[in-house]
Amino acid sequence: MIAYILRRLAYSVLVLLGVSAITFFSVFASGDPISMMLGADAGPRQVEEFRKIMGLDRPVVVQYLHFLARAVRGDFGRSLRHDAPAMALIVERLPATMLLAFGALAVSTVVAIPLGVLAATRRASVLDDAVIATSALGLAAPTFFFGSVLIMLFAVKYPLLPPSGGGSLDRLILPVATLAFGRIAVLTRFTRSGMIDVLSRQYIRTAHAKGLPQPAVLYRHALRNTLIPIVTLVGLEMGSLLGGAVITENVFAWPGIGRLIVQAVENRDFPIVTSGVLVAAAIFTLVNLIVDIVYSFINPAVRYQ
Amino acid sequence: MLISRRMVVAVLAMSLLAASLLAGAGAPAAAQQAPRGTLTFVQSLLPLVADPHVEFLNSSFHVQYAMFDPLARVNEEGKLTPYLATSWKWESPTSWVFELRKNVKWHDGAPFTSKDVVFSISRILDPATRSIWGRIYSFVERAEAIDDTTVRIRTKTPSVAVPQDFGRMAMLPKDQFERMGKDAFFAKPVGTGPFKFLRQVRGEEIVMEANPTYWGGPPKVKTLVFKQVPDEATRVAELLAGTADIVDGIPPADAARVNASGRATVTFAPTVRRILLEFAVLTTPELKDRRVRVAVAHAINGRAINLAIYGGQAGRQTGYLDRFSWGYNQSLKPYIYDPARSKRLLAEAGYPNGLPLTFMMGRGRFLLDHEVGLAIADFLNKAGFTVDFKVFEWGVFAGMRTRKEFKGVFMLSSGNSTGEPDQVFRSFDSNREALYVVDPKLDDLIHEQMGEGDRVKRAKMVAAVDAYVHENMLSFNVMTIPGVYGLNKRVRDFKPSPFEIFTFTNVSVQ
Repeated sequence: MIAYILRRLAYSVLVLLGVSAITFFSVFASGDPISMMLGADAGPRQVEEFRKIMGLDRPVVVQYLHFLARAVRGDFGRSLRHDAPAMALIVERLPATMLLAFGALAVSTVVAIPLGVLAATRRASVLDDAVIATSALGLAAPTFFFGSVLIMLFAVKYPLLPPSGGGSLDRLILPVATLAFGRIAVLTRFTRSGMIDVLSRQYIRTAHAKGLPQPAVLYRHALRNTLIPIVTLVGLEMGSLLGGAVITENVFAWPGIGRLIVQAVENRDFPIVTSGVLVAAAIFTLVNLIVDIVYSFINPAVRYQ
Repeated sequence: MLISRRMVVAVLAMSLLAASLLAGAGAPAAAQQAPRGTLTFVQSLLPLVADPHVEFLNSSFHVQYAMFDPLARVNEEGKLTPYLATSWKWESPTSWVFELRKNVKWHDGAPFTSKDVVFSISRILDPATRSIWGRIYSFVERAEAIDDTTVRIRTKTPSVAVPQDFGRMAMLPKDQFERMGKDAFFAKPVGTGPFKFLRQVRGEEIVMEANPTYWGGPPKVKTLVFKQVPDEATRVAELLAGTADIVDGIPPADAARVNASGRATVTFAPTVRRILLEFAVLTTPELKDRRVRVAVAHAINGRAINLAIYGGQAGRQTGYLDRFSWGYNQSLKPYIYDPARSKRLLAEAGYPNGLPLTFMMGRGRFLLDHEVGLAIADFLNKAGFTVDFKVFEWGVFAGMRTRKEFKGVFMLSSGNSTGEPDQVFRSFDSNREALYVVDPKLDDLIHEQMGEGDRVKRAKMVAAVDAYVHENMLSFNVMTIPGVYGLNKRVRDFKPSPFEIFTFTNVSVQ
């Protein structure tokens, strides 16, 4: 197991290297940070002078190699626009995004799995129909729309919660609900269909036949066998949560890395973009490694060497 | 540099005029009562960097000016107002002398002196600061202290615009900055402004408190909060929920809903921000013909665009300068909407069957810009042009411009935060910023007005530059964009500024 984890971590380094190169060159290929800083009405001499001052007059490949050489020593460069160390800015905002993403992950898991199980065991009931209809809404409603509706309802019409901002738990409720809504829809449907499939298997009939109580059949036999694809999905959802957090952070003015990176992309602030994408990729890679390890606990047949 | 006798006389005249204008000119109106209450100002973007010598977004200036003072800047009426300088005179064509306000204290109690001014100006010009202002104000050579309250600013070329243009740069304290170092200083900045820095959550809010010993009198509110809310709908919700007092950037379509709420009102105010159609003359041979450029101007129904997109609140078409910029030419006739005339002009220019034209814009730069671009493309299509409408993400668009990749007509928005005409003329000066129109006669006109110290004469010269650009149709000023502000009913005495810089000293909350 340890050897497997070390091998996966080594692969992760290669993944991160690839991510850094793609991000770095994409930012440069899509625009010029100096033009962004000086504005569209700046003169060519000003642009060239300022490019030199900012150290951006060297070939992009040379700049990338310099970035890598510094990055391995923990220096990810200084933000062009914030005039501060890029990684420090990411680290400063990371807790807010993690709170939002893991909050949404926790809420969606806690709500969706029991709902999916209930819907699967009461097929074609009113509850099942309601779960299917609500999850269809969750899949269809764009995050910005659902977020705005929640704000209008719970901050304006019934002023129970603040409309936006960070720094306190009451400000976390609406963004977590918004981000979790779509995830609940996916996870509920996935659990429901997985459970329906498993509940029709012969070993479930055997479990019933030997007189096991219903909860034991459901949670010890059926759900456990449905968990592997669910855990896989939860791992993959971490990627969409980090991506979805960008829009949610924007709607709720939540001070996380999503908004920081989007602003940095607009400004072609490549130290922040590259550092931010690297951190997000590292989190995603790590979560997927954890998911793979969790498999072996859920299913003893899974062994890593 | 040749300095003519006329220039010397003009300098003397200017000095006398400046002295007489400024005699008795006082500080911004002082508030009478002790500061009380909290004012929350919501905007789409807070300054990305606290350093006023590095930050450059227009939406950051009012945040900076709450903490830091400049030497001088224009007020809401466009009048140049003394701040840390009380008077100034044009000593010679390449030097200005500024008298500084006495007994001004930094927020930590240390006295403000000429060494702080020299330090600030040197810092702006120093390439190590990596300030875009150092490039923009590259005509400033250096500053030197004459005594504790007098400073001389030397320029490389004659520049009449120093007080109104360069004078707006914020002053920083030399000793504190050098003692603390840049990062520590800007983590808890010290200024001379009406508000003192209290705390900030980067990307979320900046909180300040009233400076009770402000030289202009303490402000009326005790706590001033600048909050960043990027989403338009959420900004409206903040206003309706009563959690914001002033919101900058309300979508015009939401004005009726806000006004009907009974909790807040929406105010439209004129600004200096023009929507410009620029001509890539150097890269598009057809546009070398003035008739084709004039055909573009006559093709566009600005009134219809204003009514449909800005609810009729946009400012009317003027010459190249907006109506708040000093010296703008009031006598210029607008290019009226006349698509038939556009077609005639195209036929006269040799395009009786119409002309294919590239029209480019960068998206996300000003209020409802894509809608405006679509409307303009449509009007051009109806007036004899076959438009290839290209919309780019702003970063891509800005880079293309610098690389001279623009073709045809392109749309920009441009403001003038100081009201000084040279701030916008420099985009036509081939020695400075011009990229797509190079006109030696226009260069001369621009340079001459910069060296003219007699205000009456300079006003005529500025008007002549304005007329030259307008009549030769080197840039078409379609309209000026309105500022749209949401005001909580408890807010009193908020004055929107056409220069898009707000002052909070006299604003109060009930």
